[in-house]
Amino acid sequence: MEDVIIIGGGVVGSLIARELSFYEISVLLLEKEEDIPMGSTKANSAIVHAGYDPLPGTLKAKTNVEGNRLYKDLCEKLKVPFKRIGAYVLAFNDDELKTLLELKERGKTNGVSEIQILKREEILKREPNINEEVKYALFFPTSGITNPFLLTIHALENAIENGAKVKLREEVIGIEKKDMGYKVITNKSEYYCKYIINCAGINADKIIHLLDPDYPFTITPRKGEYLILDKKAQNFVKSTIFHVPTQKGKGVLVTPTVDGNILLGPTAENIEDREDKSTSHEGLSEVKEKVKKLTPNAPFNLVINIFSGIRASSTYKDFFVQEIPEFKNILHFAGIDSPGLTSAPSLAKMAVEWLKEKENIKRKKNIKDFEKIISFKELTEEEKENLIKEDPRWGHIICRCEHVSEMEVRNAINSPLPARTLEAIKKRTRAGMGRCQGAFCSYHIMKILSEELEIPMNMITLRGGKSFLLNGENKVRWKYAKRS
Amino acid sequence: MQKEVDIVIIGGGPAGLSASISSAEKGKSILILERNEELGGVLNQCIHPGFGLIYFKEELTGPEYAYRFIKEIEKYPNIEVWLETMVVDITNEKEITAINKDGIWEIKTKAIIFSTGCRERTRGNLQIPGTRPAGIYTAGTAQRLVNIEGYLPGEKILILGSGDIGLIMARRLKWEGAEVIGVIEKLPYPGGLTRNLVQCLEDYNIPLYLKHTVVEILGKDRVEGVYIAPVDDYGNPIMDNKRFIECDTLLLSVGLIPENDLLENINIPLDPRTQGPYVDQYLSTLKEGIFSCGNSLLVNDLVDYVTLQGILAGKSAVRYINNEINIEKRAHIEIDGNLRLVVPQYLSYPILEDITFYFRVKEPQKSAILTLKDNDKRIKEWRFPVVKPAEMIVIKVKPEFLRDMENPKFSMEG
Repeated sequence: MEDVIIIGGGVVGSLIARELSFYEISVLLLEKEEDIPMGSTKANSAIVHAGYDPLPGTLKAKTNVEGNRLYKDLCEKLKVPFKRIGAYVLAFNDDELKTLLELKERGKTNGVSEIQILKREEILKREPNINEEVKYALFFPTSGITNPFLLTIHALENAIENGAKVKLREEVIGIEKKDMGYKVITNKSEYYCKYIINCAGINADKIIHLLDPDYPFTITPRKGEYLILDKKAQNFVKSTIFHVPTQKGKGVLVTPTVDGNILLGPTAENIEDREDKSTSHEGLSEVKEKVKKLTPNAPFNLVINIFSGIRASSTYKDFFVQEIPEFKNILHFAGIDSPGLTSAPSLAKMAVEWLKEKENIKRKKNIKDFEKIISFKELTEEEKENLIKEDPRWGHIICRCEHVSEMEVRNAINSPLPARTLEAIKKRTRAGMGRCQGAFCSYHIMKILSEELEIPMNMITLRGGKSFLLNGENKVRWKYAKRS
Repeated sequence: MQKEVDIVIIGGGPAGLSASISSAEKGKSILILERNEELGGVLNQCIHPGFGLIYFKEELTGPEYAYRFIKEIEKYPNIEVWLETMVVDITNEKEITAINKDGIWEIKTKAIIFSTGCRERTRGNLQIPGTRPAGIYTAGTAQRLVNIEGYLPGEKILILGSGDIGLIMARRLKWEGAEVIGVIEKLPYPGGLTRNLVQCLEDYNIPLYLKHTVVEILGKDRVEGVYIAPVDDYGNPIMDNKRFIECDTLLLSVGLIPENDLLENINIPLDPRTQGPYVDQYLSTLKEGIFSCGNSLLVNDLVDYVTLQGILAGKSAVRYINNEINIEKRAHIEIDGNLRLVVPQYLSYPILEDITFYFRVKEPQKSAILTLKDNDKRIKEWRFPVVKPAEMIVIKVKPEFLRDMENPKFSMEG
């Protein structure tokens, strides 16, 4: 019997798991995929928003501003890159200026500090690649960027270090009310618990409907397509550049990433199929057109990758964070679309407060800090030398583009939340994320995965399931194990 | 840790190997830095024959070709080879930072030869929309998997791009029992050498679809198929005529990009046409003491030319160290007409020896005339029955034709 079961290992679920792991309770997180994060947290703009956009009084507004304040400290603790690079919202005409002024007021009401309004000359002086036709801009110095993969993975690893349990490849297919609490049924097993926290992201409504099929809450998935530019475009913009927002969201942005690339996107397309993470000609062209409006000289010849993500938007206008009638002790975090990443640290605190109201939970005396070397290339020369002396494999650089060492890859596999796929390695180390997109390092990493996990090469997948990287069984048969 | 040598060669493929030998002959101390676990570069995975017809006057496989140089290097005690060594930084003062299993190295040197080769263009570069399943490989990665690691990437394979590696992989995968559905080429003419079209596609009845491209990739976990569509004369896909092709693997053979990231870090200017540095006839970049050769200088179609460039870069580095290169003035070479690129792009005066020029054309052309001019004055002509973008044009010009030029220009006309 667990005290708390968390469903879903996105940024919200993982940060909640970490917060709860600091208390004298048992916590189990269930994730249906091979790794975390795999849903909305995996593919978004990675912006820590200042908080000017959500309507005052909403949970979005409150948690956005609070979440933004919590980020610096949280990222330091979890060794995740976070940079307050600031964000511009551009206006090209007087109508848009009106919206800017409204946003400024809204920002103030929401508690955003240091909002600046800038004129053309000042904007172009600071960001020479912005469209010269710009008239005004709001500048939000507190807006930031982060790495959502590392934030989520490190949060959950820190939770595991503090006693939380994680089960991957377990999809919740049923929840039954019992005398003592609930029975949670997965595709593999059954678990009993007193409390459930639903952080199932894009599928959070499915969890709600397992309890009450008629409950009026539906996720309306909204896809966003993106392009990533090579690090050669690094200084193209220094801050995040937005256009004034519309009904559909904050629109297409141009932003640096914490790793030195430039990210362009997203589109906002309502879709039927929640699993549809495909990109399209139309979507990518739309991004480019809108980017040209913001920054006409965007170097599209430096595109190294394209992807899309799905926002867990819902029929409910705000974040849906509540229990539903007749199913007490289950807290739902549903409809967590933008600014979900920013709000996540604040939402995690809400989960703790909710539990504290129900139960007298005690904070652990010895809470373990997260202590892992994250990036070899960012160490000092002396630190690098010492590591190589300890184990020469630190000096073997596997990923040429991102300078990732063999030991970083091995450590990613031998960690509290082991990387078991090529993509899991990529999320943790950046190996394969550079300009060659893994053309040189993939087979090295596949070999290391095979060796460390003691599985044959033809069982190695891109991201779990049946995404096998080698699909032939007719060559050197003896090397292969039967997959079935 | 510290290290000091006369010449550092970055990259131990065919260009770096020949550069090391030609510079070691003069007694200089040479250090080759190689990222991989063995010398030879991409030749190690090119197990097909066809190498060395020009340089050795015989037909060798890639590993055989490389082995001849690797064996030769062993004769020179003044050549040191560091494998699994990654150069991470370089300064304008020719100080190199490298990492290997022994530690972090600060290497001081008098001359650097870049022979870093190419990387392959990827799906992201092409921005092919669709899903992101497993089973999308660059042709070179697939070649490594099959020829060195011993694994087949998939069983039902479509190849995008008719570059030489793609053509060779079509035949190779067929031999290994995979079904090769065809090769798709966006241009109206093939990208690879004629001999590869005949020996790799025609002999095995593998169809080549010219003026077609892949417009969408399908499949959730593994590639399940792609949509291909014909393209119009401007290269835009005609989506109304798109059709589905079932496959479990998409190989990309859509071009090579010279790897010159380190040169860019120290602001050595690159030629946008070759994507390699601007060089003169010594294969010296515009920063003295830094030389470039092989596929990082320009994408070659025959390894023999790579070897010759390596030899030249090695000799030039020695002459530079010995103060034997005295440049009085430099002239930029222009190109015109059907010419897409030229190497070298500069002439450094005085010119003392024959100069080998490498060209590529934009489009196929019959009975083409290559003209050398100075200020529009015709100096010399070369005639070719046919020229193709896939086949490099190589000519040797005597110093007397290049004397005291002001505005040298090559043009290719009909």
